[in-house]
Amino acid sequence: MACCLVTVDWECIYPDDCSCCSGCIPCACCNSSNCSAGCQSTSTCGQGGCCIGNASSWGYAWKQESCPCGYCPNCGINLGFNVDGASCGTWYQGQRFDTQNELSGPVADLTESLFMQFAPLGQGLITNMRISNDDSCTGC
Amino acid sequence: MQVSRKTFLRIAAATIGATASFLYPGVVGVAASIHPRTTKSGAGASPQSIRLEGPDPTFATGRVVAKSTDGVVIQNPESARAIRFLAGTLVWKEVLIDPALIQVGDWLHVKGTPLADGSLVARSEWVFVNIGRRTGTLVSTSPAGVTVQHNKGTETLELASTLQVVSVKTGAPLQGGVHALIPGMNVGAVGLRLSGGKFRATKIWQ
Repeated sequence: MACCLVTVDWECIYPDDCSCCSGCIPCACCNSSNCSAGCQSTSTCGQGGCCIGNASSWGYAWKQESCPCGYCPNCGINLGFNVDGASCGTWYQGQRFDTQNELSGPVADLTESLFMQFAPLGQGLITNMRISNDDSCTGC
Repeated sequence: MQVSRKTFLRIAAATIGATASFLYPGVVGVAASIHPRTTKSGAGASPQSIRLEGPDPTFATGRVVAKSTDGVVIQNPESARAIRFLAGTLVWKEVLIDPALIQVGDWLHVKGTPLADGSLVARSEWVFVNIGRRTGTLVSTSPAGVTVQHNKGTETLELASTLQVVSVKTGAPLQGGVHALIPGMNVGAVGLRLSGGKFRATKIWQ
């Protein structure tokens, strides 16, 4: 993947109001069915067991099934995000913090801070988000 | 808790003083820099990449623990921060409202401009009060609400008077509103978290 155009949304993540995720259902604070160790747990958090993100740091939860954009980054891997248009412009790099298992819809859940780098939370979706695993965005 | 401006500033100073080093671990000299420390690559006209190191100083989230006439203090399990509202600033709470209507106990997401003292000047319309998200499989729709199945069970989402129903791929409005939604398909929603665990959707997508 050099670059692909997708829809993303945002997700609640620690330290969001996640007393087992009251803010979002489901959420990335902790595993949807196992919050026994709290929202910080790396053993029970998230579908992929890699809940290393924070709402105040740029990050994303990648969907699990289809490796959208033909790219399957591991937890901790950075991708670049922008909505600058054809010129690509500036890429804001965020780290993958988790996995979500939805089959359709947005391909990535962004942290609130990364989403708000581009749009207000009330918008819910960003449909013209470019994602890249390098800085050479061409032919978006 | 409504406090005077003097008390607010004292609380802000105390919380900021106690948490400044945690809030800005990646920023050298908070007093000298109000911008996030970033790593940039790329040269000339080529695209540049910016990676934030540590917490984003332009963003804050937490529960309101104190308020004054022109600001609030929010706190989460990791930190506390003073949020300042300039005259004319509007905040989202299903609709755009005056910040004076924010209540102690509300949960805020704030985008703004960080000041050297560690506080954050809120950007108008980029402050969200008790905002939430829902994702699930659509069960049914009615004028009263949209029922979805998710990992917490079956929930009927109330519908805001300003509700938008859009395509997840294009963001364009769906003709027919909620009646265009197809049961059995995944839906997402953003909206206001209400007391008692209820939720009122302001936008739904499928």
